[in-house]
Amino acid sequence: MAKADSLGQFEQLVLTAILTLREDAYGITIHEKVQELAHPKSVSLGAIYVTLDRLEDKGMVASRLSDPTPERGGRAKRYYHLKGTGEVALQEAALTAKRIWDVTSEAWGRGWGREVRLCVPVRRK
Amino acid sequence: MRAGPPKIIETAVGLLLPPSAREHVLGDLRERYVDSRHYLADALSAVPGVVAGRLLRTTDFQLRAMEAGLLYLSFLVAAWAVLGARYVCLHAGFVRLLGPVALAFVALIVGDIYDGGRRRAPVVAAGLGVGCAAAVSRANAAFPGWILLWGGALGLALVSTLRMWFPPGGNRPRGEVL
Repeated sequence: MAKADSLGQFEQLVLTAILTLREDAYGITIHEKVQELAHPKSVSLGAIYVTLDRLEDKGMVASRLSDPTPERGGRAKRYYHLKGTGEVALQEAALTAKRIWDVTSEAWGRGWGREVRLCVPVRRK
Repeated sequence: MRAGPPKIIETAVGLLLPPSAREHVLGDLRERYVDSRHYLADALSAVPGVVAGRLLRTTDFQLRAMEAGLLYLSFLVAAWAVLGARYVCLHAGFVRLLGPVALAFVALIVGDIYDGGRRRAPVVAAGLGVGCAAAVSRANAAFPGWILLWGGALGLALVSTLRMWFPPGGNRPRGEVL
């Protein structure tokens, strides 16, 4: 299996958004999904575009322009989809995250995730 | 029909966007349109990211370093030919040349971002750079116009030749356009 480039956290979020949106992944929907995944942090639209460009340059995603639509003032959408290297990189990132989750759950107990979601700093002995 | 942003605002935002991203980014902004204030806020959030993305895409650091070197050489040769070696050496000419070179270099980068793949950036850069440098020079009496003219023309020739050998961003993946 080809060795994939390592991904930053924000790149992981964008790739995850593209993966889950499947055929409907374009600027606005990706932004909404990333905002949902990054909650409670807010994400700017510009950060999405710059990351999509970077991922396209890395060869992890590809894009195509759709036909223009009237609700967009006759302008096209740029749809994105994952390429093989992008999927490999995302799988590696997900496996690493799972290993971290397993280890931290063991160390801090199974219920700690709920406290983290409430933004309460967790400190257990 | 769904309401859209005022034409003048949309046109202004479109001018700030690089041509390669104009179509889909303007469409995205239009889709999110609620009112002019939100549209402007969205545009202010999106445009820097799009420009930064384009800047990273069009920047090859080795090529940029070579271009900066060639631009400096061009203006240096022009200054040397017009004013003579003595003037360049004794009046901090080496340092003062950095002004027009920096302007031409910035213009080259901006030209690449907004070139839309037409590869006219050296022409745009030479024009803008020489124009800006001439304006600054006129205000500060830094350099005679001939130096800027000859330096700009030589820089244009050298940078264009360099780009024929090493096309910028030529081997990068690009999104397929249907």
